Amino acid sequence: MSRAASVNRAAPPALLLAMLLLAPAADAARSHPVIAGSSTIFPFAAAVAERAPGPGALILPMGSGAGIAWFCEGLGAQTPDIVMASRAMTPEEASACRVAGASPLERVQIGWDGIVLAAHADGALPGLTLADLWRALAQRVPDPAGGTEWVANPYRSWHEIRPELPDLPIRVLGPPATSGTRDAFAALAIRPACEAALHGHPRADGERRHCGELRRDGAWVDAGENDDGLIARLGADPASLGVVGFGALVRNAGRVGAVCLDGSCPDADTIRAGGYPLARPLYLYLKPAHRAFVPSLDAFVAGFFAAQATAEGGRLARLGLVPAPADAARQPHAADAGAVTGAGWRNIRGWIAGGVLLAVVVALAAGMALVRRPVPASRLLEKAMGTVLWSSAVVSGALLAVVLATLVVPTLNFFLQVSPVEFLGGRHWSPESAIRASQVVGEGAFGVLPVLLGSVMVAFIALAFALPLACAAAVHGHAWAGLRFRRGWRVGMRLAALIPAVVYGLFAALTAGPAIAATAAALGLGAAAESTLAAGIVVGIMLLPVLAVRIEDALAAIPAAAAEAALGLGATRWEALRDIVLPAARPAIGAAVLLAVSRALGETVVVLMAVGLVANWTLDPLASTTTVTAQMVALMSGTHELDNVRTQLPFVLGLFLAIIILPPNAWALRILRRSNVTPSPVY
Amino acid sequence: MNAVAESTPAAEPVAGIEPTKFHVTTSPDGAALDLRSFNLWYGDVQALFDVNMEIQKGLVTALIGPSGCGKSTLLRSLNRMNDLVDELKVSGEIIVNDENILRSGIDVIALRKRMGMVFQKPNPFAMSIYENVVYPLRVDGVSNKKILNETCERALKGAALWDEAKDRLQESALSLSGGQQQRLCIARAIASDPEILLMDEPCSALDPIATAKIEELIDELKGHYSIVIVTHNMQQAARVSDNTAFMYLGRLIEYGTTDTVFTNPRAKRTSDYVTGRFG
Repeated sequence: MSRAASVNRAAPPALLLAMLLLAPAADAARSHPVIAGSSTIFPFAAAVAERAPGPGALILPMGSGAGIAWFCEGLGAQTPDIVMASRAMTPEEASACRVAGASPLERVQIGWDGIVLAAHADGALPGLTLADLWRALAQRVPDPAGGTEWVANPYRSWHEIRPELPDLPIRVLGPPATSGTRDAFAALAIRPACEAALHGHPRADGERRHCGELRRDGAWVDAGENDDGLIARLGADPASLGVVGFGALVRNAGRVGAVCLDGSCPDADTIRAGGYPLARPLYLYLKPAHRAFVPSLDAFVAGFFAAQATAEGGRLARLGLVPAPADAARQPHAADAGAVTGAGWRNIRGWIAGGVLLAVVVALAAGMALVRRPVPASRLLEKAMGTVLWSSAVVSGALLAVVLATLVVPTLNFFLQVSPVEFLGGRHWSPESAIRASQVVGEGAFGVLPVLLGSVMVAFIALAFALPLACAAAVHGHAWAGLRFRRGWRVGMRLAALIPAVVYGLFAALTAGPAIAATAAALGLGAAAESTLAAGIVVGIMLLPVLAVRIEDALAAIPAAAAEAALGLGATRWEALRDIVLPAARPAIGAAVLLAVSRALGETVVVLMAVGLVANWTLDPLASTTTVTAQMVALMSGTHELDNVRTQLPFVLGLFLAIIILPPNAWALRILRRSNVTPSPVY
Repeated sequence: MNAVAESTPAAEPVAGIEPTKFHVTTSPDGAALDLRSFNLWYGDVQALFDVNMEIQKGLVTALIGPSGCGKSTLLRSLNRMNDLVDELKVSGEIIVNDENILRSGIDVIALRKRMGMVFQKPNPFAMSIYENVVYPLRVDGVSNKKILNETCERALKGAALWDEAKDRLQESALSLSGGQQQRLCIARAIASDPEILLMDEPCSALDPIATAKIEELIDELKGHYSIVIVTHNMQQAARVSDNTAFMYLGRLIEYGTTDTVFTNPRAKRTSDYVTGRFG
């Protein structure tokens, strides 16, 4: 029952969405745990959540730093209950937490991670020392020509650092500056050697602040947050090394090996015992106050220590977690006093963004004003306008082609690894574990049927809910309502159609879902808070105004003479509608319904907030479900590397969705073209 | 949808004509419809002013006048089709069979069944010819095949369409020509055997030959039905009607035997109109 939306910190809109999702929630409004932070811990947390009892957890990998910043915004349902940290909180962070009132905190060490220097399995590099690493990767090093000056790192080859090392270019792929793994690597691997070299050095004061800085001349490559993606790149470039978590090494055993450091090679024992120099503890920080409304908080944490998961060969161990003994792990965390970090730059950035936005708006307004100014017509102007319009048409066509190509290429790659039969016929959907690319394919975790079923059921429930209401409302507005009511109704419906979908999403997540779950519980039925029924009804509510307006337009498009003829013969209003107007309006109503169907299938924001992420192969509308669109967003995580099936999946689903939405859309357009009803300007 | 009178009523009062004392061809059966001080407003705009007229049973009464004079509005008031218009107000009385049909408790549906209506443009339903004709019976819940068949034949014969349509009753009504469609609409209007037929410029969308057929038909139907026909065509009014009412700017200016109205009208405005000097 895990709900593991993946949000990358390099994708602020997604983070914004996640925060928006929780933003207006009252304390009582959610009972599932929300966990954010380190992407190193994310696979472990996702695995724990899959087996955890109680409501599914929302797990958002965004890096330790970003996770802690959000975590420390304060208490309450709109902040995470737990932050995953691949390093201890800094005094500044602890202080921010304290200032915001999020303290006291508890810190749980779930285990250790070793930072591993991975190399291609056939790599020729023997063991290194930390001093070698420092010289190879630090931004500034002592001048190899001698003297006391430090210079920008001049080394190109390992051989130049130590003659015994092979003559291979220095090229190390690693996570970007926002990553906890990167921080830990700099602190553990680079800084100590730097400090040692500066001990008693005349230039120590000037150079010390550069300790821990990594080269910016290309020898160090920021390769993204996704360890598995990084390892895939190593396969293509055997001379490179990669800085990854121990978990990634375990998951990719056989493809890559580890470089031993200071004579110690990384394995579970050396990491736990502290023999491996780049071992670091993995922590969860949690807010005890949140136990009040997230009863499953402790059960979730306990999942990290479950014996069968942490034992050798257990689920977490196979993912590469070096577990900590449960008793030694937990301790209250006193938030240390420290300087409160300034938020100056963030404000400045906001001002700049606002300024740019304003400039764009002003430019657009000026452009509009220019266009609207009457200009004397001339052949030249006519020709210029023609050219402009022609190029716009070409550009939009070309953009469409690019979009399609964007979808097609990863899709083809995906189907080289996963058979289409499995994708289209499988009933088991578990793409999050596809981090272990090669293994999972055999398990058939890419069966799209349950996801498709979720989408179809949501759309069906939405239509079943919205269509009768919309029809009745439209018929009333068309034939019964008085002039004033009709005018008000039309304006109201058109305004309602303009409400952003995200508002309906909030309604679904905070009001409709819990209400339906509570109603079902009162009736003695078990309903998930994120039930298909709730999602369907909210999508239905969202479709209602658009549908009603379109149906009313369809009725209004039927010439009054037809209805008058029936009325003149003594038909009642209802008889005239039933016998004459509705049959004549049927094509346009059908088109409206088909467009609503394709909109319901493609609806993203509402279902993202209203449904879960677990695909259930069931017709039970009270069970939780997922949809194609929700899966796409969830899978758009972190890295944009397209080298494994998991990251290709959103593209596959996108193309799939486009294809299943095509027939109803095309049919609707055909009907509209045939019956010559102009689509209403609602969208 | 209707012609709406100008907001200013006719400037000069029509002197010397007492509204109730029009000299018309009378029917031995008396009046089918009796309008007494009938006024009508669309919102704040008055469209009909103090109309008083008796429409004679079994005769053909023509309503003439320039566009916007209110003749269609008047016609549509007779079976309360104007009820569909928003913000409509009326005053006065329209008496049918000793009953004021403007009364609020009246059964409008039953009233409309007693009055067949034929519109300007042929408006058959997108159904078969047969179903078009029997639609009023279907609405009444009649499902006896024999009655339906008999009614269909009688109505089509009554509308002089039987010979052309009898072999294609199940074909779509939309496959008929314009003139045939209008006769079908007349058949449909007489299928429920109404007392009164209201015709709103029934020939304005038809060619001369189809028009001649409809006029012939009106002649045949008269006697059995009381017919009120709105027309723009002066010759048509002269040809088919017994009495003619001339309306101008929402007022009934003159009402009399057709012969009198066309040859010796009492009001100057009537004579200007019928002789083609304006309108």
